[in-house]
Amino acid sequence: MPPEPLSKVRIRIIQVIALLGALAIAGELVWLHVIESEKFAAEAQRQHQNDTQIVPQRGSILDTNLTLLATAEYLANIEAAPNQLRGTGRSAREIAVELSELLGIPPERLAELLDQPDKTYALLARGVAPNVSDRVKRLKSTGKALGIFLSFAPYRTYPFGMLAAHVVGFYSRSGAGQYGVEGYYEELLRGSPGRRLSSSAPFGGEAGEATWVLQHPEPGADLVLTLDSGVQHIVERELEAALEEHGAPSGTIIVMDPRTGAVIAMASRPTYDSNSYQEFHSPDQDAYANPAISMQYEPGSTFKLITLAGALDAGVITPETTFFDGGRVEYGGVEIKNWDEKGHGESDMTDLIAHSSNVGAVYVGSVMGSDIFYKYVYAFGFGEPTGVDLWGEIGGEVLDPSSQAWYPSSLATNVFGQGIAVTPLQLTAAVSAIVNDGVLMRPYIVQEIHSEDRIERTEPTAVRRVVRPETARTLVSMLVAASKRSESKMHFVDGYAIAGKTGTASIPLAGGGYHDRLTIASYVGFGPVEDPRFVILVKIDKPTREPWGSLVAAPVFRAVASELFRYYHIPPSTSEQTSHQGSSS
Amino acid sequence: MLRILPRIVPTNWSDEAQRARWPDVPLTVLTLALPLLGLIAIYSASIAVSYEETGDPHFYFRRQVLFLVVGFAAAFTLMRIDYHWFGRIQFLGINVTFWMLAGVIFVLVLMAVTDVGYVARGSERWIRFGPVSLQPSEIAKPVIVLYLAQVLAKREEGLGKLVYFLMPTLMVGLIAAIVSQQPDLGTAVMILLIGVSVLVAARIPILLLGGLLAAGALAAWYAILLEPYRLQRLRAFLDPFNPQYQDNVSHHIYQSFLAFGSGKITGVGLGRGMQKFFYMPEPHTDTIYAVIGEEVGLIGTLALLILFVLLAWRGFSVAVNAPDMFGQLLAVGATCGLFGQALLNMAVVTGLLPFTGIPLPFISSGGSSLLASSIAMGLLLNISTQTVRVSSKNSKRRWRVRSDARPNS
Repeated sequence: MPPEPLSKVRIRIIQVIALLGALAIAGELVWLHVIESEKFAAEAQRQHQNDTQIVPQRGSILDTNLTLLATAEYLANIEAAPNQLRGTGRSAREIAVELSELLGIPPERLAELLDQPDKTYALLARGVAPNVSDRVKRLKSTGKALGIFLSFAPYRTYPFGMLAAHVVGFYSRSGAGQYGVEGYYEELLRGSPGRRLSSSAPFGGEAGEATWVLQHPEPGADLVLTLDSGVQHIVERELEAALEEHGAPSGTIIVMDPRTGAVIAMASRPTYDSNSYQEFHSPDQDAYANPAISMQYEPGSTFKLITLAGALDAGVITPETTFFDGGRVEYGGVEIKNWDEKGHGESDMTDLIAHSSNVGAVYVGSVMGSDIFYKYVYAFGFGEPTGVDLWGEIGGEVLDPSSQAWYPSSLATNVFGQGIAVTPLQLTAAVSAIVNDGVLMRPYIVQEIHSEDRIERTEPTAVRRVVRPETARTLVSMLVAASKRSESKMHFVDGYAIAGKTGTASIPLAGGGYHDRLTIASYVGFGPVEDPRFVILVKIDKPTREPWGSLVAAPVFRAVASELFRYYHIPPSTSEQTSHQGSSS
Repeated sequence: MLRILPRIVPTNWSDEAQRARWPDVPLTVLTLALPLLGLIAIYSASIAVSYEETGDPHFYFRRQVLFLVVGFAAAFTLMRIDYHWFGRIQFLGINVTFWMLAGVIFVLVLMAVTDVGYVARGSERWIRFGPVSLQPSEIAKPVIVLYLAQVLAKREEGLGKLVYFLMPTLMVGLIAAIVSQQPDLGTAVMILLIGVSVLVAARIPILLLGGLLAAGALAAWYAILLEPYRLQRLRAFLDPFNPQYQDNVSHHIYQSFLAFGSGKITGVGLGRGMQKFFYMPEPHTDTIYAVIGEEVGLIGTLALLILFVLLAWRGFSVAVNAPDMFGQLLAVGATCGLFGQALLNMAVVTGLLPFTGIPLPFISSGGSSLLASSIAMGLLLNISTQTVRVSSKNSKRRWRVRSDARPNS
C-alpha cells in the first residue's frame, strides 16, 4: 500500500524547537566562553596549581669519611580509598587477605580498615620496603587491588641514631628538617618538588601514583660534613664516661681544626636519637637545641687567654711583665679573689696562666683598660654568632661600657670570664684563632655539597686577623710553659706535647649572684703543640664530686687528645721540639 | 549507475523516481567528519583517564579507531539497504522491526532481572559477548525509531486513534522505564524524546500527547524520588555555586564551567587542557564537549554546534522530502535522536539542564553510542537517496517531493 502524504507542519515545528535549543546552547557558550570566562579561568588556574607535588628524594648526610649519617630512602605508604572498593567486584575481605601477606599485617586489621564504604582514605602501611611496594604495584596492574594506592615519600633513617644527633638534627614528622644540618640546609636537602597531575586531584575516580608528571622533581643535595664519625664516637664515649665519673648532668665537647675552622666533632649530653626524636624529653625549654651553639655560659678562666692575647697584642704587657699576686685585689669597688684564695707573690704572665690568677687578670685588665679589652673581645668573635652552618646559633652576651648595665667592676670580672656569656663554639673558635697565628676562621660543618650536576666545596673562610702572628705564637709558648709549671702536668700525653687552659666558672643564678657550690668545669687545649691539628674544648656542667676544671675537664681533654693522636696517626713529638717551642718566647 | 548506490528500490514507482541518486552531500560529509573530529577530541581527552585505567595513554584512542571502522561499515550498510525493506520483511507473519524491538526488550529485561549485565560506575548498562561489550540501551534507540515509523506509517484501517497510538507509546514508555532502572536516566530521557518526536510527527492528537507527557512527568518525578542522588543533582543544578554541593554533584557542572571559561574564545590549545586530568568526570565520554571547550574555545564549541545544526537541517529536509510517511517518520526519529542527544549533552555540560550522563553522538568515546549513531545516519542517508529532486529551475524550492512520486495524487 502506498504511503499516505504527510503534513509537514509538525516536522517544521520540531525543527523550530530544535533550532531554538541550538540557539540556547550558543548563548550559553558565549556566556561561559566570553562573559564569565575570566572568573572561571582564574578559578581553574588556582585549582591546577593545587596539584599534587612530587616530593623529591631528600639528600643524604655523610661524614668526612663518607659514612652515612642520614640516609634518604623513598618509600611507599600503602593507602586505600575504601569507598572505591564498591563495584570492583572484590570484597574488602578478599583484598585484605591478598595484602596481608605482602604487608605482614593481619588480614582482620586490614579488612577492618578497608570495610568502611563511606571513607575515602585509609592508611594501611607506612614506609614499606621497595620489594613490597613493587609487589603491591604488580597486584594493582593485574587489577586485583583496585582502590589501593601507593604514595611515595622520603623516609629518613639515621644509621647511628644518637651519634652527633645535635649536629645532624632530624627530619620531623611534618616533613621538614629541623635543628643541626637538617634544619640549616633544609632547602638544599629537600630539593625542589616536581608537579604531577593525578587522580589524587579532587574528583578522581581512580586515585593513583605518579600519573602525569608535569615537572620532574629535583632531588636534594647530599651533604658531606667535616665531622669525622670516628672522632665523634671517641668524643661521645669520653664525654659520657666523664659525666658518669663526676656525676654531672650535661656537658659538651668540641673538636675543631684550628687552621680551617672545620668542626671535626661536636658532642653534647644529654642527647636524643634522631630516628625517634619525639621520645626524647628534657626539662630544658628547647630539648633539641645544640648546647654547643645554642646555649651560653660564663666561660671562667679559659677566657683569660683572650684577655692576655689582647693585652700582648696591644703591647701593654709582655710575657715578662710582673705583678704582685696577693690572693685578692679590689677593683671598681668590688673585691676579686683567686679561685683558691691563695697569693703567689711576685708573678709574671706565665705564672698568671699557670696559677690561673684572677688577681693577675685584673691587673692586666687594669693596664689595658676597657676600650682595648672589649675591642679584642669583639674581634675574637664574642657577642655575635660565629656563622657556623648549623641551625639555631646564638651570639652570647657581652656587656661593654656603652651598656647601662656595665660598671667599672664588670671589666674586673670579665677579664677572667665572669659576667660575660659565650657559646662553647665561640670559645673554641677564638682559641683556634690564637693557635692559627691570630687569624679567626669561620667554623663550618659542611665541607661538600653534592648537587645533581656539581660538587661545591666549602673553602675555609678567614673572618679577620685578630692578633699579630707574633702575639699568637708568644701566647702559645706561654701556654706551653705554663702547662709545664702547673701542677696538673698537662704538657705531655703519650709522647705528644699539648697545651691548654682550665676554667672553673661559677654558674649565675636567675635572681643574681652565683651558685655557691656548682660550677662549670672546662678545659680548652690543643695539640700537638709544634703543629696543632685540633683544638678541643671540654665543658662539664655541674660536676658533683669536685668542681675544678683541672680535675674534671682536663683529664677528659687528655684522654680525647691521646686517642686522636693515634686515630690520625700523628707522629709523636720529640722532646727537643717541645723544649724548642717552650723556649722560643 | 555506480555500484555503491542502493539496489533495492520500490517497484511501484515511476521510472524517474526509481533512479536512485547520490545520498545527501552534507550528511555524507558529516557521517565521515564527525567521528573523525571525535577521534581527535578523544585522543586528547582520554589520555589521562586511559593511562590511569589501563597504563596505556592511547588505549581509548586506539579502541575508538576500531569503533570508527565498525561505525562506518554500519552507516554504509544501512545506506545501501532500502529502508522500505524494514517495512516489508516479516518473520512468522510479524514485521522484522517488531522482532528487533522484542529482542532489545528481552535483553534489557534480562539485564534487569539477572546479573548478566556488566556494572560500571554504579550503573548496569553493558552486556558482554566475549571480548565485545555492548550497551543495549544505545542500540534500542535506532530500533525504536524503526519500530515506531513502521507501525505508525501503516495506519491500519479501522483502528481508533487511541488504539493506533497506544501500543507504540506503551512500548516507548516500557523501554524508557527499564533503561531508567539500570539506572541510566539520560538514555531513558533520550528514548522518550525520540518516541515523542516520532509520535508528534505522526500527528498524535495534542490532547493525547498532553496526557502522555503528564504521565511521563509523573513517572520522572517518581524516578527522581526513588534515587536520592537524582534529587541531589536537581538541587545542585538549581544552585550550582552553593558550596554545599561543591563536593559532590554540582562539582561536575562547576568543573565544566571552569573548562569552558579557561578556553575563552580560541582555547588553550589542542591537547593542552588541564581539566581532563581528573577534575571532570568522564572527560572522554559524557564531558568531552567541555574538554573541547577548554582546548579549542568558543570557536571549537560553536563550530561543533553548527555541524550538528547542519545535521539537523539536512535531516529535517530529508524528512520533509521523504517519498512516504515511513521515510518521513524514520528521518524525523533519526534526526531527533542524533540532534536531540547532541543538544541534551551540550545543555547538560554547559549547565542548562540538570546533570545526567549522556554521550555526545559521534564525538564521545564508546562503541555502542557510535554504532547507534551510525545506524541512524545510515538510515538518513538511505532516505536521502530516495527524496525526489525537482530539476526544473522554475521551482523556487530546490528540494521537494515530486508530485508524480505520489501514486495516489
